[in-house]
Amino acid sequence: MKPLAKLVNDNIAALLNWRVWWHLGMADVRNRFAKSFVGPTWILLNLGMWVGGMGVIYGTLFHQPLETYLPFLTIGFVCWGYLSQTITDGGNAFVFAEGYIKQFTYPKQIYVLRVIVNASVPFAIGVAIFFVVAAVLGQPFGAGMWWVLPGLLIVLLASYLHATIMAYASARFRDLPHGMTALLQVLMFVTPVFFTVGTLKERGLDFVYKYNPLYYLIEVVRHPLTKLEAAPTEVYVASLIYLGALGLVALLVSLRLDRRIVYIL
Amino acid sequence: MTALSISLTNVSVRFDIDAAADGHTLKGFLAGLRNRAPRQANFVEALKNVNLEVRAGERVGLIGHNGAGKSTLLKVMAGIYPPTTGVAKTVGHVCPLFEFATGFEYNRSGWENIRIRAMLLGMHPDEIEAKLPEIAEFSELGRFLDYPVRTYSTGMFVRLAFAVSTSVNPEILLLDEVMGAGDLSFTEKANVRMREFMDQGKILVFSSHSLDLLTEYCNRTVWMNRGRIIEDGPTPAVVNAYKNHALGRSTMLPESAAT
Repeated sequence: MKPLAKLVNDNIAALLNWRVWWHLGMADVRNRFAKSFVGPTWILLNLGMWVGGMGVIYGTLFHQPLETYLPFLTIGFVCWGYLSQTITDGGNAFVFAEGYIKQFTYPKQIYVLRVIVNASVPFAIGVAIFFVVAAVLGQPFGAGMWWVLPGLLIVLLASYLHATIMAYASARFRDLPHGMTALLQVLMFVTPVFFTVGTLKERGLDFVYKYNPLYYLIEVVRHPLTKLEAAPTEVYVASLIYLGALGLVALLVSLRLDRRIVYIL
Repeated sequence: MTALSISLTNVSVRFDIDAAADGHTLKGFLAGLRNRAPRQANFVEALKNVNLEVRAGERVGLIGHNGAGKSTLLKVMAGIYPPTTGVAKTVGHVCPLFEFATGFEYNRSGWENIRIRAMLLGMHPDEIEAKLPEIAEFSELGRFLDYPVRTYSTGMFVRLAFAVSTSVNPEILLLDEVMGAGDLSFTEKANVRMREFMDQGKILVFSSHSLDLLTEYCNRTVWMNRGRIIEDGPTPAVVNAYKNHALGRSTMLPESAAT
């Protein structure tokens, strides 16, 4: 079979075997909190500490009204967490599944999807928490919020592609997950998660977000939820261009490494 | 139903040592700058031009020294190792049973591991739940199934893996050196199950160092050495030739093995 045809087949077969990756991913979520007294409530507590601590300090620092800043920070932080978790965990998707990959004949992509499931649970909880925070602070709700749905789809696709690239490339270059972890730590403070774009513009630091694809991926979710309208067109255009580029890279990386993965693990 | 078959044509498998080498670190790189040893081609040819046809109902044994390529051959048949050159084609639902102590989630219970393995072998969740008691009973692990599998012994891993793999109703069962690790009573049970399985006229390929097992199960045996097939024929003849060679009674090795 031609490599491209095999890759397409494998991806489809993996998606159709949703029970397998759903089960593995959900088991990972449960396992993460195994023997923990507080359990998955940690997701809530973690977010609460960040938003409570950072929110109040940064909000004051940047002279932001807390009732709009806290929801903004919550959803931005939740999106950031999802993007960075799928990138770093994606790097381990094949490495950690070595025992399975060398023993079972399922398409490898189920281990990428497992990572996505594992990260999507805290993400979904986080989005729910955003609504609670917004409601408590008396923020308006409206029909424009539905624009979040295409945004979530874009983020989901991007994360799958991120994780795919990382899974393949990290199996070959084991330095990559370490490098990405370091890079993401820096990017978190550079990407407008804690501060608004307006703050950057005032100080002439536009370039910080303009050339940062992760900003656009956050914005397609955050803008509809905080502003109750579709994000600006350029945000969608930038996201889609980035998705296309990611897709191309993912295709090239997987084509190059697909047959070799089992040998280099 | 299409006829089950395994067909390998000119299959070679090459492992690059380079990519996985321990020296492939910053430290190793800097050390390499100082003493510029010429880089050698670092690879192992695990299989060299293997041609093999297995048809429905055949029970094929694999013998050979450690490192002869038996496990690699089984993994190529399973579709896990794509051949470096050549073509491998397997028709039928494959159920592999290799490296019995890997592919477990160590912190999860025996039950959970049964579910995961069965899923990865292609069983539907309803089917798994229906078969759980049977699998548990066959494994004889009893209350150990409630414990995390990190507490298991090698023999217990084998019991669990074997119980799951053979409950799947595989069309092609590929076994690698697993029968030796179970205790006597389990080996007996496993034998019964293997016989049942083979009566259904499906394909079995298994590697073993136990010539008795091979003679009992396999009508055909393939003797491998250094990645090549040396002999392929009826079990008694091949086993005899191998025995003679291994015990050093015959200094004459078939020509292909000398390369």
